[in-house]
Amino acid sequence: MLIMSIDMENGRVPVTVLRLEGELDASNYEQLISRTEALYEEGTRALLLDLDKVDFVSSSGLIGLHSAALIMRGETLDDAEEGWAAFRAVSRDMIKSSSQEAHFKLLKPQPIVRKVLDTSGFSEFMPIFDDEQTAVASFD
Amino acid sequence: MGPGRVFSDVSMRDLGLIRRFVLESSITGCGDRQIVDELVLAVNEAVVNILQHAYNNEPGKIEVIVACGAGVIRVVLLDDGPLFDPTTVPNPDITLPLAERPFGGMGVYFMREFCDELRYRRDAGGRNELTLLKRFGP
Repeated sequence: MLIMSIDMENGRVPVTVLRLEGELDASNYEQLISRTEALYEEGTRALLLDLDKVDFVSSSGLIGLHSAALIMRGETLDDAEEGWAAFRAVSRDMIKSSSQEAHFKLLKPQPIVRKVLDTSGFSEFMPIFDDEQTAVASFD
Repeated sequence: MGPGRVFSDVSMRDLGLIRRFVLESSITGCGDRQIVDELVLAVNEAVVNILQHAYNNEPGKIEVIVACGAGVIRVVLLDDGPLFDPTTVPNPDITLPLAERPFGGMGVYFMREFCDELRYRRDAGGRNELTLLKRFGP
């Protein structure tokens, strides 16, 4: 099960903090994608994903994260299944640019989630923070 | 190993049930939560593979057997689908761009990364039998 809630914070720019609670897997990663699309349409241009209460992220959950990152760059996904293509496009992104995502960042992943991010290489290009204030201030 | 728990008409919505069964069956014998969490992740990836490739995204029956003791947690997954051996899926070369990896390769990669041994066979009844093994210390 996945529960999502929103807080708005102000750093150098307005930051939407999307707080997830539960487990992110093949049954629900599309909910994250849909919510991110809606937030972007409503004007969110800086998204901090709070993973503090997320106990589990699978390879399918990573599709949700990467799709959300693409959406925050202004790219559209016609279909959630394009998330797989987006997942494979990760490497193209890494080749094009070694910089990390500027509009999509992660907060307080639990140890098992951090291990998933490290094992998959996502931690190389998705900024990860342990402190919310620092994370919010990092967006510009 | 004794009989396991049979999950009938399994779909993606049931992944959490299976994860909790493996967690609860393992955590008493193995007190290391990180070890158990990693094994649960590997089992989750294996179940998704069964649903996608053995059952073609249709609901299907999966038997899950968990045995924990003597420094080893052993999980056996049995399904009735056509022959599908995930251990033959090649590991992605993580130095290669992800775009060049086979579809679904990241799930098997996680299975290998998060457990110590992965074994496949067809059992006497013609079922796919996948064993995931994770070792833990004293």
